[in-house]
Amino acid sequence: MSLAIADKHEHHDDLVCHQFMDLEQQRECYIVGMWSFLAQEIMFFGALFLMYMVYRWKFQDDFYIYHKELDVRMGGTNTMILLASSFSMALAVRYAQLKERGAQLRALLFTVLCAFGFLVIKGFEWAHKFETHHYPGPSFAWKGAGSPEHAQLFFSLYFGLTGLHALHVVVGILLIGVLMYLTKKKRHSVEDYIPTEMIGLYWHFVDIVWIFLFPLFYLIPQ
Amino acid sequence: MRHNTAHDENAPHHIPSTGLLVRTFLALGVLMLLTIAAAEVDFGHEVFKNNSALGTYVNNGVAMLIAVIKATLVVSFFMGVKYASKLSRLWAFAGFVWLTLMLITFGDYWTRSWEPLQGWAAASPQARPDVNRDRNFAPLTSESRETYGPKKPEAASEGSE
Repeated sequence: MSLAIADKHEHHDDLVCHQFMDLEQQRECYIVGMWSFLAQEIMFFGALFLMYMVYRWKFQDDFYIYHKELDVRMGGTNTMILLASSFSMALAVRYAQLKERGAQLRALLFTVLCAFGFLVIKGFEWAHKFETHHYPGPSFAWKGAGSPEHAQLFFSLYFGLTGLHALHVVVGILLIGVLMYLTKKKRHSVEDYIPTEMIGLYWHFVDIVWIFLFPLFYLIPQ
Repeated sequence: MRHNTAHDENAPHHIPSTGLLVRTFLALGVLMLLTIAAAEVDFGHEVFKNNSALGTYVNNGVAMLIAVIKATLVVSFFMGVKYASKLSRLWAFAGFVWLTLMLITFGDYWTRSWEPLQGWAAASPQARPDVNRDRNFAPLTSESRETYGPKKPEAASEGSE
């Protein structure tokens, strides 16, 4: 019986898993599944953004003073790097759809390099905060204007939100790395473009989070 | 019908052109520079002549508007939601709808000081009235402060900054 069903679906070729009717349905299921995961990510980051908004609302003038500690050139460079990585990721999806594997791998490699570049710049920024004791904890020190308690709050939010974002970047590097390995060595499992597309969706989401983090932390108005 | 004979049977329905992706990337880069340039403008003092509270709103509004436009570009073209199936679009939309609903919570913090009630004023005065500008649209009057305001004498000057 099951063999008969398998035979019936033979013409869809073996890209389609047995629980799906056809490739189109399979692809839509994957995309919807990925978006439901991203909806969860939006909820997760959204709550943190709300927390940030509430404190920013309460201590706007203090936050304006503290945000001058952040280097807008480094933040801006990182924004451009992430935008470029998103662009190359979108190209990688396009090449995967066209089955141009060499170009796909090069685009993915560029994306990973951008991700590492982002983390290196982020690392320099964090290292500077650790040198000046601007990280939350018992040794936190604030000599500038504004309340030291609110300064610690600001830097807690900064480290919390950019830290979670950086964690997502690390996960993205791992995912893209595995995808590159599979594309190179075990092509069949990533024969369809959908795995690339799903990792692309994840990566673009990480980019979007930064698109909001950048103005919220680096461009606070007076 | 969708499986055009001229194409591979497994080809996706829509493949974004390189030109579209390049244009999206360029637009994102321009918007990135624009948001930094807009942040340099002090709307409170340069544009609205010392209405610094309004200036803060405008600065924040411009920064967030640009961020939303950038996110929309990424979602539409890089993530391909513009060309996705209706079901996928619904799911992509759901997360952002929820986000909007959640941000309505913020309206509570925003408007709490508009309507001073006993307890609220004590629970939610600006923590440092000396540094934090008054952005209450309806600050306590001397009469309502007696009735509803905080009981502590040192907090009596709050709201008049």
